[in-house]
Amino acid sequence: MELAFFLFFAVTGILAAVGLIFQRNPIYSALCLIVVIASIGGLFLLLQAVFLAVLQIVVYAGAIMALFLFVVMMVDPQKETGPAIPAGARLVLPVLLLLAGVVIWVMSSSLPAFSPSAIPLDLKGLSRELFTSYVFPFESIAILITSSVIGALYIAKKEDV
Amino acid sequence: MILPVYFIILSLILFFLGAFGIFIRRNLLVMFMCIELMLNSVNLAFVTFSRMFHTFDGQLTVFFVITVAAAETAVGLAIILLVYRSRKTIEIDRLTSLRG
Repeated sequence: MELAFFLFFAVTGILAAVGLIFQRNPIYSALCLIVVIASIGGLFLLLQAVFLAVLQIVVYAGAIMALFLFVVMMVDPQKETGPAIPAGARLVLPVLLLLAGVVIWVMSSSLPAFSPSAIPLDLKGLSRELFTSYVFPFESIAILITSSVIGALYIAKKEDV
Repeated sequence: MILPVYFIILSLILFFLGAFGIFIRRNLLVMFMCIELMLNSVNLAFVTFSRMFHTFDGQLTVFFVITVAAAETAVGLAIILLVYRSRKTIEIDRLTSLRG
């Protein structure tokens, strides 16, 4: 059952990712990215990260992708012309495949299996950790996101407004 | 029975698809989406390790990555919008005014 769940989300995610990089129209790419994000959210559920699954859907698929779609519409999406794979990128592919192969080979020999959890990975423990040992990063990230929103508004506003 | 290595391999596949996408696409927005894809795949690896070692550190790192990604997207999209306003295109092959 779990394996079927995993396979479903894995296959959906990979197909949507392939769609994302091979679609010629940016709108379709954005929609494919939403599917990838949703399937990764499903995998988070499988890994008992319930809060992160919700966050993934609300923040990523909701907020960030809405922002993306707005900008795609504002910049007047044109279909890309030219070859699907530029000449320079053909050289990159073997390098990337080699890198991926090496990393998979290294990882697959050394990972233990999942063991039953000693402590439940629930929201209570997560928030206790977040507000004790991670409280400084948490507060600084609040400053970061506030300043980035102000900065984004400032640089994107029209000059004559 | 799901092994952690399945998740890691899936995360690697998504990461390298994103990296490949950055090389083959010429549209600034789509390249940005590929970066988001790579961030997401790394998040998946973090959560897998968090589940494997029974600690919250991986999940909290993902929490921070998602927040920083939101900040990065806001600023990055504003910059892309600005590039489009001044150049009327976001195809990187046509953004060549710095070429000597």
